[in-house]
Amino acid sequence: MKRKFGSRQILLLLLIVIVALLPLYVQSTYTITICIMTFYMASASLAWSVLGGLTGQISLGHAAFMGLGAYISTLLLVNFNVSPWISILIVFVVVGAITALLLSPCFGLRGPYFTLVTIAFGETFRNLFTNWEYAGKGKGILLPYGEDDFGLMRFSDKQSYFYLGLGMVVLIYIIVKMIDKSKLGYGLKTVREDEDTANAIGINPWKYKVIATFISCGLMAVCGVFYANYYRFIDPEIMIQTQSVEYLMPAVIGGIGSVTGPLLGAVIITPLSQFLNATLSSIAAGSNLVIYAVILIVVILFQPRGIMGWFNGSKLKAKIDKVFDSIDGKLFSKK
Amino acid sequence: MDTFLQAITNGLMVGGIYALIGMSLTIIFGVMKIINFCQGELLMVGMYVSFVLYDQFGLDPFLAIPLVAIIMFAIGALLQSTIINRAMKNTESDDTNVLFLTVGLGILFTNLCLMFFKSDYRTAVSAVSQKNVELGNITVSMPKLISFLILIIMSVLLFLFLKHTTLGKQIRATSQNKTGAQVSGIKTKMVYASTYGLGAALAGITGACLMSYYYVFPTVGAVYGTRSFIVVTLGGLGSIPGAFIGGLVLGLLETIGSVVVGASFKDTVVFLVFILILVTKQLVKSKRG
Amino acid sequence: MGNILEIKNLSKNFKGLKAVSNVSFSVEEGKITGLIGSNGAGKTTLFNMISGVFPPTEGNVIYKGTDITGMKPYKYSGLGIARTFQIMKPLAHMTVLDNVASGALYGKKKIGSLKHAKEYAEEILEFTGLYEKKDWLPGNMGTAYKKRLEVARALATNPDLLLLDEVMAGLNPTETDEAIELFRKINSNGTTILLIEHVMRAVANLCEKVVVMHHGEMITEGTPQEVMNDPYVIEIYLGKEEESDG
Repeated sequence: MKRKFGSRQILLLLLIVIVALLPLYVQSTYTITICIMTFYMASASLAWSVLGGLTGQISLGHAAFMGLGAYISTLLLVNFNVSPWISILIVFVVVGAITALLLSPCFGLRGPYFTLVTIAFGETFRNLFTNWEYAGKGKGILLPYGEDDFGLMRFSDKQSYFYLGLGMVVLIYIIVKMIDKSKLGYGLKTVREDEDTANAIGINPWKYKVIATFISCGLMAVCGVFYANYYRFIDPEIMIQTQSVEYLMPAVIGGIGSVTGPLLGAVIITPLSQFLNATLSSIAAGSNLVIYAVILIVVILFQPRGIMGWFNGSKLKAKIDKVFDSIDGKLFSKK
Repeated sequence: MDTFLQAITNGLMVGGIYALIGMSLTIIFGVMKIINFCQGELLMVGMYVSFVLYDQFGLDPFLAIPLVAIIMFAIGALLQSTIINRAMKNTESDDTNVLFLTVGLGILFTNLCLMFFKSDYRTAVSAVSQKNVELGNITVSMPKLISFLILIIMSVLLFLFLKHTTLGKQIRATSQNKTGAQVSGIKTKMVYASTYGLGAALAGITGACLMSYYYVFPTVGAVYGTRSFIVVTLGGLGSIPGAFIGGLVLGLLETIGSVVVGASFKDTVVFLVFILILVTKQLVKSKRG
Repeated sequence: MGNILEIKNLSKNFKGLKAVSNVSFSVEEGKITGLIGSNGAGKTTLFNMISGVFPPTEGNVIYKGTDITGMKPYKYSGLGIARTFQIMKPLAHMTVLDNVASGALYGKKKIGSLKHAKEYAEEILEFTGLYEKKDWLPGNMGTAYKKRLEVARALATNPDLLLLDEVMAGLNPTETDEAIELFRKINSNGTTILLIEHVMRAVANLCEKVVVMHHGEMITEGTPQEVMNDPYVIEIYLGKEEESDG
């Protein structure tokens, strides 16, 4: 039997501590920047996976929902001096509610049709923000510069954003993991696998899609708060559909439908794409993304369930499980 | 009144491009039952092929159309028979992988073109590029008018092809009933490859037409890809006459929408109408049981 | 015992075509009732109306004295009605145990904690003879096991009435016998069963009452013996089965 707290959790904690200690030993700003981007991409991909992975509703509009979070928190900060820390809660609720409301008539649409609707909503938001005077139109909004201020989530050093990003990804990972292992998670997964079966065992697919949208888009908006305060500049281009594709890529490569998948995918692909960007794009612009796309295509063709999909069915996992269980057995042996 | 007539004329001209790209998407859906998420990128590739033919051999975009069509057909057929077919087989009951794959192909095309052509805007000049036609108080640019005529010709050709050629009949048979087609000896593999090739060729022709009055850059496809989804939703997925009419309606919606709500918000109008239609269609379908 | 389910004058038209017309019968509590008919007799349409997949054009479905006609399909299992699917619908990317645990978490049982749901699911798997396969993915199992999984998941919702849609189609004689044994066991625990089949042998073996449908209409009902001796049934139903067997 697996325990609630065992060697797996200890290892995970250890891993977080090691990552957290990284800035003390690594001085390179470049490495820290890549870490921050990895945290951000992992968080966004995890948020996406609540709807796309757990519930099986593929959204290509999540960049816009992230953008909504970024815009709302920025406008609140610039115009009403609302701390981004408070905005985190506000955008989670507001964006979660807005998206759930907007998408709720669309949950009868299955498969690619739902995806088309999310593209349409995303592009509508981008179009509206591009033309909205109050939100700076296409020019975007610059966040106010100034002295470091924890309350305003404003730091001049990368280290602070490193810990902020780490905190975000750990928090979102724990939330998504808890959903996955809960009754709610079973409901969502049943809807993903088969809506007729869901109906037959008493699950209202519509209701569960609404809940998944609320959580997924709400968390995505929280990522948007981080994005705005880290880059300190936002414009409607952050809402573009191609950006949405970036957020689902770690999930697809790491393993759609597993919680560790998006995290693992981001850890592999974000540094890789940054490395390729630094080395190749000076030689030929776009070549880094060509490799990126090829990796995606190869994974889809040869390992449709991603790295975690392969791992979960492999002998390797069985062996690792055995090791963990035996350690657990020794550590927590019954008296 | 003249502004309105001018808007309608402009709408029809833009609509012609939308109709062509819509037809290219809908024919692929009709046969393979997949929504090709890289249709706009295929159009973009077609534009670059047309640009290269102009740049290297001085070929007029309109005269280059047959060549562009052949090259794009080959690219499409090859792509389908190698990569896409594999993903379709992988996932008999699950179409999300084909969705991801075509999205991935779109990224690949965009960045391959970025690699070879940089992000600069490229143009190809046609002999008729600067000419205009005056119809009373309405002005139409010559290349747009020719593009519209090409749409009409292509639609007629497509209709004749599907109706009277062996391959065309096989394509229709497969789209109506795949198993039935297989049973009666049609090689669906070949039909799939040709259909995707045909879809790519039509997208390429659209690109070549567009090249005569517009410029190409690596991300130009995104807009047309999204528009093609709207066109086929308007006209009914899989229906070629539907895509024809849907394209023209979308073009009119855009230009008339621009007049009514201002050009900046025309996208919002278009997308909202799109969402409304998708949802209504779904509701009607579920009511019927 | 009274009737747990009463079907009253149920009809369904599809675009003017009558798929089911004016069918009435009842299912007695605690018993196993069979519904038979050849392909195209309207069994599955009738079944879909009873289980709420689509509403009938006319008529009513009365469950435990309450009219449940046209109720949303997801409300059924909460009332104690569970169903299986003719075309099996396993939750493909979830293990056998998780498939059944889903049923236990929702349905009428509505277990709150995942731990208890899994324990209960293990009991159900033991009962249905699937325990050894609990960590398997459904796709890796044979047809007989998949059909059992359908039944196990439905059973995990703790139903009073179990609707089985051709669960024995495609099984070999040994597997059919095992399935019959399982349904007897389920029934002896107090669950009423409505069984849709075209395997006559299974129906004759299991059911206390059989309803026969043909071309969307109900032609007769009675004990298996009565039904099988009915000349009309022999003519249209058994005659056809012999044909298809040969």
